[in-house]
Amino acid sequence: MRPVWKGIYSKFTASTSAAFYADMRGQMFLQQARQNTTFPYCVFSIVGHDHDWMFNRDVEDMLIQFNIFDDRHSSDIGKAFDDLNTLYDGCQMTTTGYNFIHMNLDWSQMVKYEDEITQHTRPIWQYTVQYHMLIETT
Amino acid sequence: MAKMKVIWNGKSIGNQVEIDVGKVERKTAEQIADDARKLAPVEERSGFRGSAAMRTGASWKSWIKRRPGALRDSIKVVPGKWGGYLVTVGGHDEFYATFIELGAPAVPITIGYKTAPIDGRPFMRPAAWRNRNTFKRNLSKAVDKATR
Repeated sequence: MRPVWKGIYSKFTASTSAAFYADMRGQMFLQQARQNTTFPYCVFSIVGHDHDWMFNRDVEDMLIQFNIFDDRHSSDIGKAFDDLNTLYDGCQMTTTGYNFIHMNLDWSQMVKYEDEITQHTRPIWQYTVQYHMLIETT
Repeated sequence: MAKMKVIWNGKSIGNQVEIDVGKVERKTAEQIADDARKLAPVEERSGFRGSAAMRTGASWKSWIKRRPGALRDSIKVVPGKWGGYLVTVGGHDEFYATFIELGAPAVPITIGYKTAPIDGRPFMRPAAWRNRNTFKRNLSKAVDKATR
C-alpha cells in the first residue's frame, strides 16, 4: 500500500514547522525504527487491510497504527499524541491512484517501560494510536 | 361484536434472540482465535542464547522457558464478565505478547529476544478486523431467524 505510506509520510513532512514534526524532531519510520534511534520518534504501520465493495465502489478499509516513543516526561508524549491527532484525525490526504474518504481516530493506549527492562537511562513512554482509514479506487 | 385477542410472545422471542446471538458471538470469537493462531509468529528454536550478563534475574528464567508456539498456544476464548466472549493472548510465560502485538522501543531489552527494535507483528487486531463483517452478517441472520 505504497500510496498510503507515501500519503502519511508526506503529510508528516509537509510542514517542518508543524507541531508533530517538531515533537518527533523529524523522525518518523515505516514499520521499524533504526536500532538505538534517539528519542523521541514515531513508527507507523498498517495493521489491518480489507478490500471491500460499497455499491459500485471498490474500497480499501484499513487500520493504521502509530507508535510514539519518548523518554522524557509523560506530558511530552501527551502533547505529541494531541499533535498527532491534530495532524491526522479527520484529515484530508493525497493517496495517489485512490480517492481519500476519511481517516479517524479509532483507539489509543499509553504504556510505560521501566528502565530495568530496557536498560535505558530513563523510563520510556509508548503511545500506541490506531486510526481507521477508508479510500476508494479512482 | 366478538373481541379479538392478540397473543404476543415477546419473552420467548427475546429468549431465542439471546440464545442465537450468543451462538454467533461464540462462533465469531472462535474464528477470530483461529485466525489469530494462524497469524501469530512462531520462533524456530526455543530459548535464547544471550550474553552471560543477560542470563541473570528472574525475568531471564521465564524467558529461557519459552518454547516455539507458546504465544500461539496461549490464545484462548473465554466468556466475558459482562456477557459476550473475549479472545485473550499471553500469560506469565508469554509476557511478550504486547511487544509483538503493539511493537516496542528501539532499545535492547534486558530479558533478551534481540537487541534490534521489536517492530511488532500484529496478529490479534488483524484477526478481529477480518471477521467484523462476517460477524455483522451472521448477527443479522440470527436475529432474523429468531424473530421470523
